[in-house]
Amino acid sequence: MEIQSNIGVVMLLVLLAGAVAVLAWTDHKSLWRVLKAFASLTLQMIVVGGGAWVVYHYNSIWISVLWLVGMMALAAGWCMMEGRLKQRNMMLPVAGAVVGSTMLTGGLLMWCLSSRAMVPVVGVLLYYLTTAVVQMMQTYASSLRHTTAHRAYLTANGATRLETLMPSVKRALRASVMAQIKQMAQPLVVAMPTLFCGMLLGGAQPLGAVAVTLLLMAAAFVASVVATLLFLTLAERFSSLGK
Amino acid sequence: MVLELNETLIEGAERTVSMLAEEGQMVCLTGGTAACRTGLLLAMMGLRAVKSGYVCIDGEPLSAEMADEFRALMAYAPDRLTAEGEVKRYEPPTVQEVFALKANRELPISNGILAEEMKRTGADGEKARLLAVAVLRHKPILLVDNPAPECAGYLRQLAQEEGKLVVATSAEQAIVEAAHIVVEL
Repeated sequence: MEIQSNIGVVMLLVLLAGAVAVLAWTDHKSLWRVLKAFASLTLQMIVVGGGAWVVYHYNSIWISVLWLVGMMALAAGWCMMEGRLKQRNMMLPVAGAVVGSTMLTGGLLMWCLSSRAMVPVVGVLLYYLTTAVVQMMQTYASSLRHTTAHRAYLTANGATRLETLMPSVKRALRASVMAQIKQMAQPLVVAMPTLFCGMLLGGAQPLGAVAVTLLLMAAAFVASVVATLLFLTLAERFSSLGK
Repeated sequence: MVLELNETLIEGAERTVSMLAEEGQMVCLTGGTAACRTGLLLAMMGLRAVKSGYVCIDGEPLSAEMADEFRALMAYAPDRLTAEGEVKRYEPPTVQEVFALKANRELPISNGILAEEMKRTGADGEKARLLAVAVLRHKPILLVDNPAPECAGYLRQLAQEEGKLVVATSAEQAIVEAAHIVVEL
């Protein structure tokens, strides 16, 4: 998709400046936040766009792998930072969850679509995954903290470790998919999903865009659940969470 | 069956504890703080670390590997099953969850049996339910944290007539007097 009218772009920028001026006139504090957000968005888009350009331009498997590893490392790092878990050895469960679920669902999606779809597919998956993993980690850790007495009571009366952890596992699973469920519950006739609109802008046919959007949403849901199961298994094995 | 604590010291305790109890006896752990008494019960089940000394049953010392086997011989009635801090949006814990556990599914249990046992305890409310659930697990060792004073006769009867080894923590005179062995912390 190419920009057809520079005049249109200039008019949009003028309107943007007008909107920012209104904000400056009514609320100074919000103004700085808005300007910072725009600046941050622009910088990040340059970096993300640059990375995607390199992948498409060189069309080399090694550059694609490098890009993929970089994106997964950034996503895992972001989850660690936002999750703010104080337990030891949390990097392995978080990285395992992000990498495992991305590889599984991303791989399946690229099989359905094509390997050229790697950048948008991984981008969408990591977007949903980072939110899901952070919510899940915080909910699980909080649940474990609040159920210490309950778990001790069950353990003392015959429960296995898995039985004592099940209430917290259920909460973690719920938390990991809740953000996506809320989004899916939005009335689409009123506000079409960004993903769908992005594909139409990219030149996709509407019915094809619908099919791909549904596939991506399903894959993102599966990725959230798989990431939760991987995280819980690896955390139980390798970290001090809940011990 | 013999339960022994030998110079056992747990976190937060000032003195070591030693005791030797057999089936058919009721032991009362008294004195010290309530947290310390509870900690000692949890240490007997391998749920609290022991700083020095040891806990053993029939000469077998408690270790990380043996903890599950120790707990298989025990039933535990806590002071209360607190919902404080529990995530209240979701299912709060219930005392009866114990009977849904895999280890307890074969037990013959019903609401009527539970109600009857609760009446026998002599206590009421949550304490009666917690104690009744623990007793209905039919384990040779019964650990009770801070039972109601009305349960003194019931606990002694469990030890003498049913041959259980009952370990109760309490500062109540009624429980101390009902015990065969009193251990001052």
